[in-house]
Amino acid sequence: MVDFLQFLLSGITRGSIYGLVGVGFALIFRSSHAINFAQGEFVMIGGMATVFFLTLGLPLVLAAAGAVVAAALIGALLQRLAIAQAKNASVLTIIIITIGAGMMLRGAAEIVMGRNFHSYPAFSGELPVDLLGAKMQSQSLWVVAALVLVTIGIHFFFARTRLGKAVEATFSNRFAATVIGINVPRILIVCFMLSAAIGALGGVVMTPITLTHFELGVPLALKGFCAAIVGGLTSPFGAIIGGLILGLSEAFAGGYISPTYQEAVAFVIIIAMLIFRPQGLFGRRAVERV
Amino acid sequence: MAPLLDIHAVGVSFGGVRALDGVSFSTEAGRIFSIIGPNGAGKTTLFNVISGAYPAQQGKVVIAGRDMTTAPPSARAALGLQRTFQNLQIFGTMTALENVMVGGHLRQRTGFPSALLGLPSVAAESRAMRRRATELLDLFDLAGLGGAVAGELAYGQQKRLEIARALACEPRILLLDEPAAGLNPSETEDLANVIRRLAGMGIAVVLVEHDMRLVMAISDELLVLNFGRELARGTPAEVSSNPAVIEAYLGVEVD
Repeated sequence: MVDFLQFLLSGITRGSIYGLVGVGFALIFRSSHAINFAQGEFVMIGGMATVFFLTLGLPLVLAAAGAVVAAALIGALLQRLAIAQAKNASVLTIIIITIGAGMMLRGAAEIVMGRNFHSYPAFSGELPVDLLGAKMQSQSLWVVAALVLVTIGIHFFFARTRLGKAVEATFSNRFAATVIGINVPRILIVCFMLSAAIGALGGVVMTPITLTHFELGVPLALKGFCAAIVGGLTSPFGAIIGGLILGLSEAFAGGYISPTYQEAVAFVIIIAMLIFRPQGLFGRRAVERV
Repeated sequence: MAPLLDIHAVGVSFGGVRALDGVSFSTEAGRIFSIIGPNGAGKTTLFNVISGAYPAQQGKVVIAGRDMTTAPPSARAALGLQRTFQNLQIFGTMTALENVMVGGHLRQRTGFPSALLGLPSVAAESRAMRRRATELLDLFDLAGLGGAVAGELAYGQQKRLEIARALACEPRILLLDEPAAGLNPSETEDLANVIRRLAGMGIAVVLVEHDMRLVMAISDELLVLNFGRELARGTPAEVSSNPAVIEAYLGVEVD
């Protein structure tokens, strides 16, 4: 029973991390039909920039906020200077641009912060939280809290705000969106800023657990992408649920089967998903009238 | 007073083809202005230049007294210009009600911060918008279809939905591109009544249409285009008795 609880808790922590990464993929897909393979780098920037601001002597709250804002600005620049320049390029071209942007961001981080692992103390001390005998790092609660905050925020964004509706309309028919007066270039920038900020927030809260490193984004992006595929790329909520499913499966597989296979679980799930339900759990099947 | 929509000597070329050449017209609130002409005469091109899908290479587009010749479509929409399309442009993955509401959302006053805080003004406004969207669906005979996915509606329903969405933006100028195409005679009759009502509400309606009976019945003024140039302009009676128009439509008599 304690084992089960232990696996459950570590699964939730992992899953929240994957969800925070995955939701960024879904947000960008939902505005531009593209996959942003630099999403992992935004997570890395969240942790790295926090470390950087802390070494400048800023208090943690300001360093964290600064990191999120910095990532959002980098997201806006990426959209404006690289992706918007490609104009009407195919989705594949845009994906390749994001891969290049990811490499560039990793290189920049390596130049500024070196090749070492970095971290900072957990927000509420290093003492683990005890839950019926199972132990959890207190920082995990911050990760879960960040995921909950993001989930609520996204729900409000799409359900209640005009900007959210405009994003949905842009996804549905970009041309018609332009015609009814939606400023589509601005919507695309907003989506990149949002997903960069969410990724960076993930990076900020996970770094005391995962540590950060200039190449941290690569494996995380892979897991986050899996989470988004499982949830259905069109649905930010799906990505969050997908992340949790992935994290829990990994934790239980690692605990009950063997840690050797833990990493493989994500890929088994994604292959099964693509075979049996390619639109993902919450994705919409494309409707096309011919 | 400056006209609501003033098109001045507009010209567009595609490669060597002169799609529009020195076309001018202007129209006022509450008027129905129709553009007719044979296929390829430049009618849809003219709409595209007015709405900003592509810029005029020569001439000026003045909307509500402002020179919008190079402005993006969103800026023109902000001045109250809306249009529908010959080949429909709806949000196929959203519901009919959402389609109309997106139109209305751009007229919404409350912004993101207040929406995030859940202020009462936001809730009231979005209730009002939902009510208005529902009314528009009723007006266009789409009552009860608000929850249906727009891409799955029948063709005629999608056409009406597109007009309803344009109206949700509370336009001052409405460009309708072949609204009667694919409609049966009784639906066309309903459409004529709707268009008259729109003009009655003070909207400047600009119509591109092939259905001559409809055009002649409802228009205040007509512009006839042929090969991208103005062939004739005037009231329906003047235009229909113009020899040049008769020649373009029916061909010239060969002795």
